[in-house]
Amino acid sequence: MSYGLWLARDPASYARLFADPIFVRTVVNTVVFLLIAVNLKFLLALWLSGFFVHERVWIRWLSVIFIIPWAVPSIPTIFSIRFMFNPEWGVINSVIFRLTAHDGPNWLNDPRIGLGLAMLTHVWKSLPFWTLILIAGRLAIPREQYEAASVDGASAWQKFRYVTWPSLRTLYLTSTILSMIWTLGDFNSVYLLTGGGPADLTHVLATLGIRYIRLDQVDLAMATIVCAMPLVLPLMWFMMKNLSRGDRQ
Amino acid sequence: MRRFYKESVLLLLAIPILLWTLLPIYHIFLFSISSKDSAFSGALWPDKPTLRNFGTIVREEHFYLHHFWVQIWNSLWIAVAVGALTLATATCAAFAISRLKVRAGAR
Repeated sequence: MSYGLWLARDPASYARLFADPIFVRTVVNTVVFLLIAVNLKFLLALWLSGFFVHERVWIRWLSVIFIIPWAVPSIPTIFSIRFMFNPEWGVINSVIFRLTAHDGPNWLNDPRIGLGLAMLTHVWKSLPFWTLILIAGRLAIPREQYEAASVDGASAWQKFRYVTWPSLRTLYLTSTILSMIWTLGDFNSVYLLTGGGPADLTHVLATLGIRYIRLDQVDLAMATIVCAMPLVLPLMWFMMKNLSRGDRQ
Repeated sequence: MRRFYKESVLLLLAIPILLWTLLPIYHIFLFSISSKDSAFSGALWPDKPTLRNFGTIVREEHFYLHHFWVQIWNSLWIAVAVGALTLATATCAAFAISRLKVRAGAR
């Protein structure tokens, strides 16, 4: 860690880094990735945790299947998604061609769709884990509160708003921030899916470091990682504050 | 009637969840039962599904797979050993942390 910082000591490498248009694009990508992917993931997880707390035998089995994306190794699955979206021979475009006789979109060769698919891959991969966390949070809410709400004639929305959400809020916020920190370090779902391409337009900070290392510019790679710190440190500070507040309650 | 309505809504929700979860995994499976020349055909089900790929793996018939059984054993060994070591360390650490009195966390 400190050796990495030592490698990134030269101010000139930062000047070169900021002059690189790819770096600017990468920072924008990273912020977009964090904001959209993490929030989408948590809204879905919040909603799905409400689905999975229903007590049915088949929902229990479905939840076992639902955990699979998180449990399987990421390299084969992300390559599988990459092959699926190949514009020439991928399954998706073959099906589109068969149904409509038109060529499908150029999925991963389009920077916007590519980054969007990387976000979806990330959501696909980490959604089960966070859903599980939120399910645990929902199960910790005493059932009597819902019964009392039913007696008072609360609608489903009111039960969520006045019973579920107040108990879940701290967990939801803390998990979101933790997930943002982890997502910032998410290398696989971008690098294995688009490889940062086309034309290095879909890099995020985690993959840009590897790009510079492959170009034999180690100082720039380390400078990239240092540039991620202004994103990580406020998140960590906020989370620590949030956690200790949760302790005192 | 109300109950029937709720069940059908739950079932309708289950379908997209199942598809979303299983599609990439089904795609891996599709590749695994396709022969080499039909793997990139883009079909939803191969013309002649084959188990030959699995045979190649089990009998270590490919250059990259010469040590397949050793590698499987390594994976298993690492998984079990790491699990046991983590559990042992974390159990002790959890006990210590639960007894720890920190200044910020006044209880």
